[in-house]
Amino acid sequence: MRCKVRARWVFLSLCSAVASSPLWSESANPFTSNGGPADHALTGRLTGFVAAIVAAMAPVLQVLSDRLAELTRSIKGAEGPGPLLALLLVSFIYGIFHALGPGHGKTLVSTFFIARDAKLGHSLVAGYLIALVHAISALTLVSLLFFIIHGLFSSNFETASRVLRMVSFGLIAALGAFMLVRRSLGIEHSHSHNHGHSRDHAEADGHAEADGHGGDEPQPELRTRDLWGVALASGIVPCPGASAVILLSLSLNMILVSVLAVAMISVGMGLTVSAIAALAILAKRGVIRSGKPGGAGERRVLRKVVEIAGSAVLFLFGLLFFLAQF
Amino acid sequence: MTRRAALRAAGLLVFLAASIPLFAHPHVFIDNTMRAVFDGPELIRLEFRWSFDELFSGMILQDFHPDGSGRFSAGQIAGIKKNAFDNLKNYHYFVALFLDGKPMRLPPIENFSASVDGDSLIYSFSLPLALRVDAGAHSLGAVIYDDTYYVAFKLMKVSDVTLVSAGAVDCAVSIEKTKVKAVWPGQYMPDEVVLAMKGK
Repeated sequence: MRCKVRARWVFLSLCSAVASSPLWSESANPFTSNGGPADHALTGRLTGFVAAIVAAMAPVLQVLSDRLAELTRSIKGAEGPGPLLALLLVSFIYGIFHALGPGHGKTLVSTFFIARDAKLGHSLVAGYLIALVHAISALTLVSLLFFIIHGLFSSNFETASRVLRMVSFGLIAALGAFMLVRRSLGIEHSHSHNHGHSRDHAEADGHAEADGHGGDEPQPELRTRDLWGVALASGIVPCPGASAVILLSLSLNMILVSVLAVAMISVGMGLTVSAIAALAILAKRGVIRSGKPGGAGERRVLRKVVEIAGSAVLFLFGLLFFLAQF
Repeated sequence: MTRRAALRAAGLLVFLAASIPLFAHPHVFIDNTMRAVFDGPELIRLEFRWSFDELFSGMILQDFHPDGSGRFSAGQIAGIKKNAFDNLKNYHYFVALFLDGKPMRLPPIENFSASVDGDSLIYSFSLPLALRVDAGAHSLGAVIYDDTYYVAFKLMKVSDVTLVSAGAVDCAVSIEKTKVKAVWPGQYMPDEVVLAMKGK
């Protein structure tokens, strides 16, 4: 019975990682890109009730998106701070909802946290690092195209996004490969740090891990700087929505407004991505703990299976999407 | 099941649900209206008018500035077509036609034009047809939908469809859940505009 339960946990956890993977990608803008839609085997299809909910949400997103545009315009020449505050609020809400769609690093971050031990607090750090990279990427690219590179903004933006998507998937594949090799071979951090190896807080319930089989042990504590790789890999493709808001503010000559609006969009996005990351961390703990009654040995095997599978998923999908960009 | 196990199960279920993109996000929103133009007993073309959301409109208007009265020059329209419309050929222009339930080859796009209405960019184009309806009853279905969901079309109402010079035919317009699944198997299907036509 216990064995059955455990198998189900592993199975569910892997399914969730794989199921969400096909929707990693922001697709290309059909209007301004060159070429057709990506293969559906890769981008995933929406079916059944999920599709129905998605269709029902579209008007809400449209209202938010149109409100963003209207408010941005109304700030120009407004007397009080009212329109600006309203814009910031709508930007925040837009960020929360927008980040629930494909892209924005949710799957990468949850797969990463399945492959790598982390504290719950790391989900918040990861979510906001991604949002920060996302915001900086959008601001930089739009400003560059707006102020420096002349020509058709829409086409240039699409081309730049395509290049950044390739960089992003390349980084994801590299990250996955790196983690996969390390986990499979049982290589640990050679540069151990002196913040006193608090080890796995998730399992800090008295089970000694004294038998020094490198790869079988929980990994050393995750540091914030380890999360930069994830943030860079997943946040570097600018969000088309945020970019459109920046462009509109810049064209109205409101540089500060564009920065503030995109900052608020990012605060909203960070919230969504952090929440998903936190769920991934909790899910992994659930899986590993489910093997508990069998003792430390069983949990080590579970941990290794889950972590290697998570790394493999990162690597394979990063590679697949990278190749699909050509 | 212990309480702890139940909690864990609940946690993973929430995670699973959250991984599904419950809120996929389209980036471009279009209000579509359609005109069916007749010449006697013949349906000669379908005309589409797409009104874009303000953010997408803003991006295109950044590249192509209309004159004071919201008009684009012929050169600008050609530029818009080349840079932000022609690629839709890879997406069958988001239109799928069905004659009496069978998929129809999409005719070449004609009369593309772009304009501005307030803050919204407008595209219009037509699909030439030569469908004589005096011989018997026909039904023409039009499904307007982006397979990739980058673009969201507002669901259409019967009032979004106008019949032009339809005096010689009986034509009933309805919006139905499309029954034709062959084009996009397994996928959520949008509504289908159905013209049920009969010679008088």
